Amino acid sequence: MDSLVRGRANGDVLIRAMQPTVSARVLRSLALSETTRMARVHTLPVHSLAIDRALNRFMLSAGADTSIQLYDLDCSETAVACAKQIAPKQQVPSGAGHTRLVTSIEWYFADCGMFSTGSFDNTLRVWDASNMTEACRFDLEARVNRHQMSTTGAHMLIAVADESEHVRLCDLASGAFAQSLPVHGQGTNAVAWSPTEPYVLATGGNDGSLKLWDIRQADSQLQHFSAPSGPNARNQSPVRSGTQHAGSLDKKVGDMFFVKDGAHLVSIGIDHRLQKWLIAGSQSALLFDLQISVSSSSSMVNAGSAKSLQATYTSASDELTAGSEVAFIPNGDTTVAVIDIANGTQMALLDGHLSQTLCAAWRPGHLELFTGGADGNILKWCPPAREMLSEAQKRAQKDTWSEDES
Amino acid sequence: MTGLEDLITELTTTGLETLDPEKLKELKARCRADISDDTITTAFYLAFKALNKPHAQIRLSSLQLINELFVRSHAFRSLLVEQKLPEFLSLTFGAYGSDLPLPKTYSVKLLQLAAKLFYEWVERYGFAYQRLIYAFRYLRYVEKVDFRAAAKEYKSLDPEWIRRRREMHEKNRRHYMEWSFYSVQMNMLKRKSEMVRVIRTMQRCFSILVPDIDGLFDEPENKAEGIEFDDDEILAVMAANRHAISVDIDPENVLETSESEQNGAVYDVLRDCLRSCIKVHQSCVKTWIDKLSRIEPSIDADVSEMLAVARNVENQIADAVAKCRDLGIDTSCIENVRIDSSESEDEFEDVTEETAAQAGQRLRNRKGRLDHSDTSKATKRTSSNRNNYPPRQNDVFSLLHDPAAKADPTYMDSRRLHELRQSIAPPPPVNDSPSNPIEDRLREIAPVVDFGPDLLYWSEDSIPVDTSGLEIRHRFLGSARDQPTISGQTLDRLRMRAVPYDSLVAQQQAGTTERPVIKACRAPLKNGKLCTRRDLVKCPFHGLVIPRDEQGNPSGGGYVQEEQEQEQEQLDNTSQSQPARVSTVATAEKVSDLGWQDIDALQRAKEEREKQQQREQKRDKKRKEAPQSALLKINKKQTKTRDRLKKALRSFAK
Repeated sequence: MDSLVRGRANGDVLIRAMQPTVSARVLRSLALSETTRMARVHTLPVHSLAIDRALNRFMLSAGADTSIQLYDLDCSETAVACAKQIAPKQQVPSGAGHTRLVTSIEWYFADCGMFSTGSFDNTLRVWDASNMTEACRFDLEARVNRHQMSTTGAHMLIAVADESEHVRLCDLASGAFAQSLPVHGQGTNAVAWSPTEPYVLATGGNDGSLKLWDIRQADSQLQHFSAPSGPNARNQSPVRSGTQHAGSLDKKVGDMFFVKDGAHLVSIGIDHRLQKWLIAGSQSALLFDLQISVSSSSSMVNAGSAKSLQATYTSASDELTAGSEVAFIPNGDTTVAVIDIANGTQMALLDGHLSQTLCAAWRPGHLELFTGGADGNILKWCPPAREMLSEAQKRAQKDTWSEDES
Repeated sequence: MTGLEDLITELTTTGLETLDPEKLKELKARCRADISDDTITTAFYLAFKALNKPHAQIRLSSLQLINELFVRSHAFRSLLVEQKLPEFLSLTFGAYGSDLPLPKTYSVKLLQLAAKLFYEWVERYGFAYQRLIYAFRYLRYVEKVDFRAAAKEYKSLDPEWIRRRREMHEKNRRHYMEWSFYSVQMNMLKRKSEMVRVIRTMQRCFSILVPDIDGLFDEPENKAEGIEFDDDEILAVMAANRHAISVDIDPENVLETSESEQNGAVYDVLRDCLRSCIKVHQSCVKTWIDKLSRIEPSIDADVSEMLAVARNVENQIADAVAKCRDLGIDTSCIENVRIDSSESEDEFEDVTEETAAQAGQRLRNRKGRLDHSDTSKATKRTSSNRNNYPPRQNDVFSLLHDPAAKADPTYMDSRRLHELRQSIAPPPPVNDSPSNPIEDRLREIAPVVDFGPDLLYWSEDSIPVDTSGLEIRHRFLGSARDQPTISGQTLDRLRMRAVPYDSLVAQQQAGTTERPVIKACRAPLKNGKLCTRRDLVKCPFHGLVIPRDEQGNPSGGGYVQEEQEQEQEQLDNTSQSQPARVSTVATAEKVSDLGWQDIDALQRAKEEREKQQQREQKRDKKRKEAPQSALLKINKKQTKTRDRLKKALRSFAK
């Protein structure tokens, strides 16, 4: 780092060359925010977090207590003893909406007027964010694990991963199911729309299978990701294949997402395996397979019992971290892993929760990460350099040896 | 850093409730001397190593050690908060489903101490180490750790909290004063006009009854009469004189105002007003003054003004009441109208019986104190009343004057009680004729005992019982079929003295300070258990209490060891529960038989105690030989019923 800075001062190093080092340094330094904290409103585990994409300002949280909370992240009040506290601005109280735990929550991609929730009470609900009332409901007759709406704007379909044998596409325009994709298995746990191809959908099953679909075609399944063959297999460790290990639940796909270019797909298993696939036409190739290292200090927290996890992915939208593609992955113990997706390395392990981590949300443009856990807390992470500690806090962080102990 | 490790091991394995101050000081000095934080880091990991040991006493000491360093070093705090918080919670609070280690008593203490210290950390450092707050939330809401006691303790000690509480108290006080002021203000608004009206009415009545003419008087000859009156009244009378209204000043009755048919209405009005003054307004004004005088003047500018107004009203009322008295209006019946309502009722009853003349007398009676002749008559009348008429029926104490009640043995006549008291009182020191040498001698040898039921019946030959005529069988006294007296046998029993065996007294007699333990009989029972009766000497079912082994067989040697343990156990039990005062009850035929206490048994008990003492001394010696550590053994196998049974069967098979 020092040599880079010296080189930059001499004009030998281009700013582009400095970028990855700087961004890695910033991301590695992520720590619990000492100046802001989220109010404790969830009494039970927080399963899902979402930050709106239009303003990057409003955050939704939902979890096992069935309530939905809406926070304004720019608006905080000074709570007792120095730290600011962000309290929810609006909420759907417990029991008023869903009747079982809410597994996933998502903002409408274009504005902050609407959001959708999926729940174990077999419904997918769409909400009006301005007055927190239910606008529309889809009854899926199976527990909803995850849902996602396409961000391309070409259609109004919400793909729903549930415990049934189909992935259903709910059409917001008509209020009915548009299509069912037969996944043949023990249900699906993850769905992801391609950010570039509006009709391409990826699904991850409870049995660990990854599938790619084109929803326009009658025979809509494009690909079934399987064990790599050929020169693309860089990782030497034994690599699982969805088809080979079908049925073993610990191979379950925890979450998946497309990389921004639409050509790469990243899947995260609940066994702490992260895989990046290259999608090229009808062929797919495994780029790397990374075993996320979980810290040993939190080993007494029961890892792996989390049935789902919700990772978050960011790329290049912040000034300081431009150029890096990073995923934040809750590990199901007390930690959240920071993974560099570009080259498949683990950058940091954020240990802050007191029980299982379940979800994470990155706030682009602010260098802020929010994570939710089974302890009902939502934690805010940011680089410590950005924080201004108050005098009292500085005083509290000083050593206080008494004089006679010298 | 080997020295550091030894130091921390020594600190944490003493098993004592507090850390060794000298060693702790040394550790702190070493941590402080090293600027590079290496020592504190090492100390941190060593302290956690100690905390990880599965022994509650070691954990307790380690926790105290961690607290000592936590409150001093930022590096230590950071390490704990960032790296080891979940582990810390699981080791001290038993979070994440982990169990706290044995011994049980210390693990409870560990939990309490952890709650106390953690609450303190969160209060003092939480705002600078956010994860502490998250951990606190986790413990509070997920693990359901009870922090209430810790919070209470912290708040009672923390100056910040004390200040806050004082502020709150002050705020509440001001708030109360404001509220109180407001209520008094409203109350005054509501009732003052009424009071003023009443006072005015009364003043007008006075002016009717006692004409008030200013500035005209002469020859204050009345002073010579020796009867003192208010100047105003004299003045008024004098004034009246000047106006040539012939006023005869009667030395017996200076104020020419007696209730008559002409001014009866005025008196009635006065009486009404007086009643409302005494019963309502006076107390009301008194509360106003009470409340207002407690309110600080800073609350409202009007306080002192209102207080002055209230005092003025109070004075006026007092003045009016005094004047009423002077006018001879009897206030007593108003003041204690509540207390003897039966009296007033009686009055009404009497009215129907009494003649008109008596009524007139009564009217005069009411006029009160100035009327000397009348009052004397009245007192005479009341005294005669008391003598002649039988006391009225009293609703509450209906038996008070019931002649039939006197026959009731449970009834204590007050007069008789008085007589009894006098008789019980110590006799005059000069005794009558020392001509009774036998009695004197008897007195010399008579034992001094407390008065008890036996002495009560001592001289009684026959005690009447069951005078109802019905045939009743009493639980203790039996039935008295032939004559209504207690049978001689029962009387004998009543004369017996019950003396409780007091272990403390016995102790004092034996000259030891130690509390004797009455051992269980421990004879084997049919159900496999041992007899748990505790008798001094002899179990009524199994005979003399003798030393027995674990199976309850009488034993001689090899017993001492077991008994020691058992005694230790018992001692522990008794010291935990309330101080045991085991006592048995024995009876004596006569008081002279007080020597009932079996000398042999006492002797035996004493020997037993001596033996026990010797054993204890031995044990102490043993303890001294053992290494100095208060750590309790936790891997000692606990004997269970099943094991004991197995052992018994094995020995039986042999």
